[in-house]
Amino acid sequence: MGFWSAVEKVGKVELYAVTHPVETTKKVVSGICSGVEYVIDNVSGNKAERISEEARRIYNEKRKEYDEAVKQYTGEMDSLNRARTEVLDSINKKKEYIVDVLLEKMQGILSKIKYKKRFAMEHLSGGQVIISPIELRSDVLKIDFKKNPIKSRLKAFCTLGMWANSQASESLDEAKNEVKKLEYAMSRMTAELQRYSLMKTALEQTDKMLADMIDVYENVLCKAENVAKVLRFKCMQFTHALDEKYCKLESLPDADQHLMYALFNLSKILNDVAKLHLTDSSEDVDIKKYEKLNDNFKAAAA
Amino acid sequence: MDRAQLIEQQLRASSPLEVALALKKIELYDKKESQEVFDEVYQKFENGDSQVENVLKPVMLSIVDSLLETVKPLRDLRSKGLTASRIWTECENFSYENTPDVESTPDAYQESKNIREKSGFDGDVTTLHATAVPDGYDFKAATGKNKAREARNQENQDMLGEAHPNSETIDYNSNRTSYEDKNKMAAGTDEYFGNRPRRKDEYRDDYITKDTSSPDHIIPLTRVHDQFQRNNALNTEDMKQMANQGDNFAITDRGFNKGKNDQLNEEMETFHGEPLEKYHADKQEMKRESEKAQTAINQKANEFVAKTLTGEGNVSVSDAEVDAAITKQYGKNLSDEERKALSKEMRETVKKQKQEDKAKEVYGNLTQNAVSQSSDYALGNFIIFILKPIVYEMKDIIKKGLEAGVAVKGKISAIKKRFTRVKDYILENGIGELWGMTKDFVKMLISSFIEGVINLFIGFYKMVFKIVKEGVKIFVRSYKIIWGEEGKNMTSRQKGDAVLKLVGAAIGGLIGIGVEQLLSQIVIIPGWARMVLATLCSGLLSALFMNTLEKLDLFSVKSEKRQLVIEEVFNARIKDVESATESMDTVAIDVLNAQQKAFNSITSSVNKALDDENYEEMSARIKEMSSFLKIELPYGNVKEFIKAYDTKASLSLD
Repeated sequence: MGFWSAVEKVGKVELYAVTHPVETTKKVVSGICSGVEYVIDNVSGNKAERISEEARRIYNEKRKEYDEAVKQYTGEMDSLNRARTEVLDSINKKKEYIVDVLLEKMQGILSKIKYKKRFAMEHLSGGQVIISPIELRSDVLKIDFKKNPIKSRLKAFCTLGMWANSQASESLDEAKNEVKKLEYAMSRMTAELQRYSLMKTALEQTDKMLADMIDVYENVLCKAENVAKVLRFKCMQFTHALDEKYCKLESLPDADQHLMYALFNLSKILNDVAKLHLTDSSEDVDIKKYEKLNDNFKAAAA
Repeated sequence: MDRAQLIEQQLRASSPLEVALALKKIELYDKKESQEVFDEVYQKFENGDSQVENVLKPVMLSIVDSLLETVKPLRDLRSKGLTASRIWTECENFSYENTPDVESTPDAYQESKNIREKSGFDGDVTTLHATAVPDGYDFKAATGKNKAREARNQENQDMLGEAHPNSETIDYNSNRTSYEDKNKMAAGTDEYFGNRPRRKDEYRDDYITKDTSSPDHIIPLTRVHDQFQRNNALNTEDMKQMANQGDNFAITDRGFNKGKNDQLNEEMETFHGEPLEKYHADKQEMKRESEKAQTAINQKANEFVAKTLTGEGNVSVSDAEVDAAITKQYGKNLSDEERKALSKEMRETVKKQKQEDKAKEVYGNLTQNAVSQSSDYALGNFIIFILKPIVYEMKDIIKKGLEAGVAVKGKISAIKKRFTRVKDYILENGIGELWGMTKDFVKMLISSFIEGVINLFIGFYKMVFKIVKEGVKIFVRSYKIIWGEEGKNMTSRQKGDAVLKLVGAAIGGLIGIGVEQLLSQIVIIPGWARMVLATLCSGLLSALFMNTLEKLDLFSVKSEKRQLVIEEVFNARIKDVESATESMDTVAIDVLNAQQKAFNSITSSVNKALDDENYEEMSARIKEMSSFLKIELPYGNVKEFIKAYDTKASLSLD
C-alpha cells in the first residue's frame, strides 16, 4: 500500500466518521481503551513478563527434551556397545584361530612359509563420551519476574516498560539460541547412534566374512594336506629320505601346483586379515599374550 | 565437495573389512563445538562495537566532512552529496554480490546548506555577519577590499538612496511607533546613553534637543540590505519597511548618529577617538536595542515573505503604471476625469497583478534552484554508482594483488578482467540505478523546493518549519518502514529501531542547523569557520547520538540479529548433520550389501572350484578375493610362486 493510497484511505475513514458518528465514537473510545491498555501493559511490566515467561518455557521444554534424548542415547549406546563387544570378541577369536591353528597347519604343508604369530586384537572404542555436556544456563533470563518481582516491575515502571521489554526480548533471544544449541546436540546424538549401529553391522559382516574365509581355508588345507602327503611319499620313494631338496613343488602336477599356490595366497590373505586393524583401538598382540589375557579374563569371569 | 559426497567417497573406497573403521573416521559434523560457534558469532557482533568503528571512524569522517566546507570546489562536492561519510559508507560496503541499500538523501543540515548556497540567501546570518555571507561565502568580500564589495555598496546606495540614513527624505516621525519617543526627544534623553541627558561638560554644552538629536537606524539600512538582498521574496520596498520600523529607531545625538554610520551598535567602540564609556554610553543597552531591532526586522521579514508567497507582497505602483494600464484597457481617448475615476480600481488591479507576478517569480526561482540542486544530486549519485566498483577493484588489488584477486595470470589479462567486471556491473545495474536516480531526483526536487521556501524565512519560524518538514519526512519514511515495502522483511523490533534511527538522523541534521544558528550569534567567528564547526558538531553529535542508540539498543535489535545469525548457522549445521547421517546410512547399507553379495559370490566360486578339484579356477578366484579385500599378493602367477618356493630357503607372509 503506497503512501497516497493510505492518504486516500484516511480520507474515506474521515468521511465514514462524519456519516456514522455513533459507530465512529465507539471505535474511537475502543481505540483509546486499547491504547491505554497497551501503555499499562508495558509500564506495569506485564508484557515483559509474558516475553520472559515465554523464554523460560521454550528453554525448559527443550532442556527437558534434551535430557530425555541424552537418556535414550546413553541407553541405546550401551546396548550397541555390548553388541559390538560380542562381535569384536568373536573376531578376535577367529583371528587367534587363524594365527594359532590354521597358519600353523599350513606350515605343516608348506614348511618354508614363515609368519609372525601376532594379530591385531580389537577393542571397543568410542561411544562413551562423544557428545559434549551442555550446562544448564542460569543467565538465560536477563529479567526474571519470578525471582525478582519487585526489581523487575520497577525496571519496567521507571523506563515506561522499555528496559524491561528490551531485557525480556534479549532473554527470549538467548533462550532461542540455547534451544538451537540443544537441537544441534540432539542431531549429533542421533547421528552418532546411527554411526555406531552401522559400525556394529559392518563388524558383524566382517565376522561373517572371516568365518567364511576360515571355512574355505580349512577345505583348502584338507586338500593340500593330501597333496603334501603324496609329495612326501614321492620323495621317500626316490630318495628314501625326506629331503626337502627332492621334495620340490615343481615336481607336482600343474593342478596341485595351483592348489599350493592357492593355499599360499589364501594364507597370505588370512595372515593380513588377522593383522589388519579393524577398529581404531586395536593393538598388535602376541598370540601368547592374548592367550594369557584370555585366560585371565576367563578366570575373572569365573 | 559437500559432506555427503565426501562420506560416499570414503565408504565406497574402503576395504570390505575396514568399513567399520571408515565409519568411525567419517566426519558427520563440524568438529567445532557449539560454544565455539557461539563465541565466534558473539565476537563478530562485538567487533561491530569496536572503538575504531564506532568512535574513530565517525570522528575522522566528520573532520573530513567539515574540512570540505573550507573551499568552494569542495563545497560543490558536498552539494552533489559527495561527502566523505557517504563515499566511505557506500564504497566500504560495496561488493559485486551484495550492494547494500545506503540512504542516499542528504540530512537536514546538508540540505539546508545546499539550498542556501543555490539561492545565495542565508536567513541564519544576522546583520552581524551579513557582509561576510553573500556571493557564496566569498571571504575576500568580507574585508571590503575587492570590487564585489564596492559594487554592492553602490547597489545599496542606488536601491536605498531615498531611505539612506543620511538622507533628509527620511520621514522618521511618520514611522515613530510611540509617542514616548517624541517625549524622549523633548526631554533630551538619549536611548544609547541610558535614556538620560548627557552632562554638559563631557560631550556638549547643551542637553540633547530636537534640533541636535536624530533617530538612528539601530540596524543600519545597508546592513539590512546586505542581510536580505538575496532573499527573493523580499524587494526594496519590503526592506525599506523592515528598516524603517519604529523598533529599529533610537533617538540619539545627531553627531553620534553620523559617526556611527554603517556600524552596528555592537561594533561601536569609540566616538571622536575616545572610548564610548567616556560619554557614558550604555553599551549593554545599545546591544539590547540592537538585538530587539534585529528581532523586529526578522519578524517583519517573515511576515513579508509569507505575504509574498501568498501573492500579497509589498509592491509599489506608480501613477505611470496605472495610466499605462488604463490606456491599455480603455484606449487613449479617455478624459482626465474618466481616468481619475478609473485609476483607484486600476491601481488595485495593477497591484494585484504585480503581487502575483512577484509570487510567480519567487516560485520560479525556487523551482530553478530545486532543479539545479536535484540535478547536482543526481550527478553525485551517478558518480557514486561509477565510483563504487572502481574503488572496490582498487581495494581488491591492494588486498589480494592484481592477478590473485581475479585468479588470472598476466597483468594485462587481470586488468582486462577487472575492467570487464566494472563495465558489466555498470551495464547490468545501469537501468535499475537510472530508475532509482529518477525517483531520487523527484524526491529531491520536492524536498529542495520546500527547503527553498523554508530558507526564505528567518530565525524561529525557519527552525519550526524545518522541524515540521523533517517530521513529515520521518512520518513518510516510518510509514514505509512500518507498513510499506521497505519493512517487508523486517521484524517489529527492527522496524522500531529503524524508525528510532530515522529520528536520530533527523536530529543530527537539525543539530547542525541549531549549532550554526548559535554560532551566528558570535561575531568573532567568520562564516566559513561557522560552517566548518557546525558540520563538525553535527557529524560528531550525530555519531554520538547514533552510537548511544546502538549501545542502548532499546529494541534489542542486536540481540535479535545475533539470534537470527545463530539460528541460521545452527539450522545449517543441523541440516548438515542430518544430510550426512542420511548419506552415511544409505551409502553404508548399500556398500555392505554389495560387499556381502560380492564376497558370497567369490567364496561360492572358490568352494565350487575346490569341490570340482579345479584348482586353477580356485586359484583365480582366490586372487579375485585378494583384490576384493584389497590385499596385495606377492606372486603374480603360479610359476613365480613355485620357483620362489623351490629355490628360496623361506617365504614370509608378513
